Amino acid sequence: MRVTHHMMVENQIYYSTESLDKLNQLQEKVSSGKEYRWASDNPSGAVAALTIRSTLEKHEAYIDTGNTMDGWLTATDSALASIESMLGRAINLTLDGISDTMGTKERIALGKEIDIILRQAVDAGNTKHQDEFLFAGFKTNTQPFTLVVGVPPAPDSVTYNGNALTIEDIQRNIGPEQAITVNVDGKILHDPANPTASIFNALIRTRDGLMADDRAEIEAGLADLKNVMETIKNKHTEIGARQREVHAVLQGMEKTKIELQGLLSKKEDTNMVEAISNLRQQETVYKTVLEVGSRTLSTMSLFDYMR
Amino acid sequence: MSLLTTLNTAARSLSAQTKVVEVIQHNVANANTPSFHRQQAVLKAGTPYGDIRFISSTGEGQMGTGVVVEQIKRFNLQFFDGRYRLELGASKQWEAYQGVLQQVEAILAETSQDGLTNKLDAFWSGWQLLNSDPSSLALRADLRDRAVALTNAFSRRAEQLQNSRADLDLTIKDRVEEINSIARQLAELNQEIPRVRALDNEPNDLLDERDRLLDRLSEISGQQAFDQENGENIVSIGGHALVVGTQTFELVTTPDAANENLLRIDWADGQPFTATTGELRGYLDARDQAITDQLDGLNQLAQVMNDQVNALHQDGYSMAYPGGLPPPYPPDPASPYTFPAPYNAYPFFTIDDPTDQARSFRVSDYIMNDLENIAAAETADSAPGDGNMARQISDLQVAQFVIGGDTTTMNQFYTGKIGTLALETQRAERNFKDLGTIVRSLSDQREAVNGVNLDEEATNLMQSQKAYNAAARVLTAIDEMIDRIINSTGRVGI
Repeated sequence: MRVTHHMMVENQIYYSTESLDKLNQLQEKVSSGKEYRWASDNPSGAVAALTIRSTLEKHEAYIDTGNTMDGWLTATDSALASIESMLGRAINLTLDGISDTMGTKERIALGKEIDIILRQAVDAGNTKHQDEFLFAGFKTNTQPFTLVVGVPPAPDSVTYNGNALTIEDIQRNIGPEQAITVNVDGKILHDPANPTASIFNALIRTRDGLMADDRAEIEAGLADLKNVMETIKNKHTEIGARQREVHAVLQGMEKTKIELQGLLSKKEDTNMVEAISNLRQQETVYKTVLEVGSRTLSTMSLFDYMR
Repeated sequence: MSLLTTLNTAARSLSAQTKVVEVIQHNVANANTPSFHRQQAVLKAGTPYGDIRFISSTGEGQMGTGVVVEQIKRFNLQFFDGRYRLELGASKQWEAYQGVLQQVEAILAETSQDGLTNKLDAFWSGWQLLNSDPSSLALRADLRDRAVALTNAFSRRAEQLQNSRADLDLTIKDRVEEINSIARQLAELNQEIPRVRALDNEPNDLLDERDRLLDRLSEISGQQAFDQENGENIVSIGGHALVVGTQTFELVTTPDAANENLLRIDWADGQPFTATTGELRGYLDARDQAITDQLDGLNQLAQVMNDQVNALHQDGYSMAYPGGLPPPYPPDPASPYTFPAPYNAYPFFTIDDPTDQARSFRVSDYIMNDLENIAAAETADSAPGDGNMARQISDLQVAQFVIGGDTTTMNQFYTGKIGTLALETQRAERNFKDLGTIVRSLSDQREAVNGVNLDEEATNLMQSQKAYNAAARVLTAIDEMIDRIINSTGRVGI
């Protein structure tokens, strides 16, 4: 093919531009540490990376929530444990009180002890966790239980100031559309609409029975106490199970988070070793292109040799 | 046959060689001029004559009369030109398209920290965090900030995409003006070239100019050119004539109400103009398809976000109105917000202009003015521990909706749009690169025929120089001979 000098110049410009372009791309890769700068450099990788990032962000939020839930569940667990032990002591005392070897004075003494347990139980029911009441349903800033001293002959009572509606469960998401109830509704401890299923009423009844030395009342109170103990034990186990579930999910999520981060890095980050060696190579290529260009372009034409 | 005639022959040789050198000089001067076709003075032996003398014999006849320049030939191969222009148009189309798409990618900035997906994720997380402590004002403020960042991201992108389209309109108008100007110049050439041909001269540089104009026209919109016998050239684009003889047909641009007042191109006689290749095609495709597609996606997504979040939010209960909103509904008859019954809380988002959703998408004034209007609770009474509505709203992240005809989650919808844009851009880049290689090799082929090779010119120059020197020598010899005849004849023995 017939070659003209113009053609050679054009081609030289093209090749050195190409070479410089490649050099530039490699330099960007190495300097930024990212495999691609724009989504169009690697469409499928970019879209996958976006999705992974979203998932990671979600996981962060769930892990955060999970840890908060864990705290709440732990607090509920210890509150229930202490109520359980209080009830246990109360039951033992009542059993002692029922025994025929006890006299009225002893019974009154036992009654006084149960009174103390009652107050402790009310306090336990008003436990706070990070400035929120555990057993108040949604009304987490209202003290759920207040002990009202009755004007004799009316008995003492405990009012419930928490949620007005039926059972209210505070739910948190541990995964997408996967909710766990973190609280125990106060009504489970003491429901004014259902007097015999209340801890406090049982304690009050037992105490009054002991103080009045009324054997029938004591026995009735003991039966109530035993029922309530069952309920509390069940709830306690439930909370324990929920906490285990939360721990399991949290562990799984931590693992997934690490895997996702690894995956993201694979998609996004430059393989430094590869990129740097390519960069070195491209530098050499560019130098060669320039060298060849300078030789061919500066080659003189016949005009220079004419005399 | 006299010596004086021979003198004439020598003189003619000098003049012919001078002309050849002139043409060589012209070539060398234009070695780098784009679109220059090299020329060559074609030499021909002069018309011989049969001599009539009073003593003639056969065998003496037909004497040559030296050398003349027959024509100044221009090197050109029509076939290469045609192919080159075709591929050039296609290459320019992809170049223009790719250029605009890269700009759009930069606007959307999805691979950076500033991407819309990041803001979406942060927004959903904000609701999730609010669920853990629904009455916390700090968390509410944080959520509101995230929501504002999200709506700003929407409106910024929509605004910039719309500005891109307006800028493209300016470029398109520019190109159309250029086509009209080229048409006028071609018409002038159509007048000049036949005139020169009629004088039996070759209008070589005018033909170069015409080639340059046709090349540029191919770049802009592609063209079909037909050479006429008289030297005129009929040029048409997309089947409609552009230049016929000295008459031109103009293109006009008018805002098209059916296309959001973007420009449309028509011929002056009303027929629609279709560019099938070239920069115009690239720009029009980018403006009407790629950018519009992204804009539509943003608008659809904004609408769905607005509707879905508001639907849940207005069912929830806010701290400011624990029992629900008091009548009348809407609270302010002049309110721009729509209140679908039943409504327990104010809407969270609002779209001011239903035809321009993404740009006018923002957090409603009620939320901006009072954080307690955020409805996190699901049951009336809005107790401080009730965060169930916040939880449900954060679950919208994984819910599927019909957006733009597909059933998908909001995140996936937008990621899909980004993916489509990325693929389009990559395709345009590849096509441009591939066509660029083809154009280059075609250009080299063309150059091989048209271009100036300095070595060739140098050799020809030396040839002509030698011929000139020889002719000058012959002239001197003849001059001596004439001198002898005139001055020295008859002078004997002096």
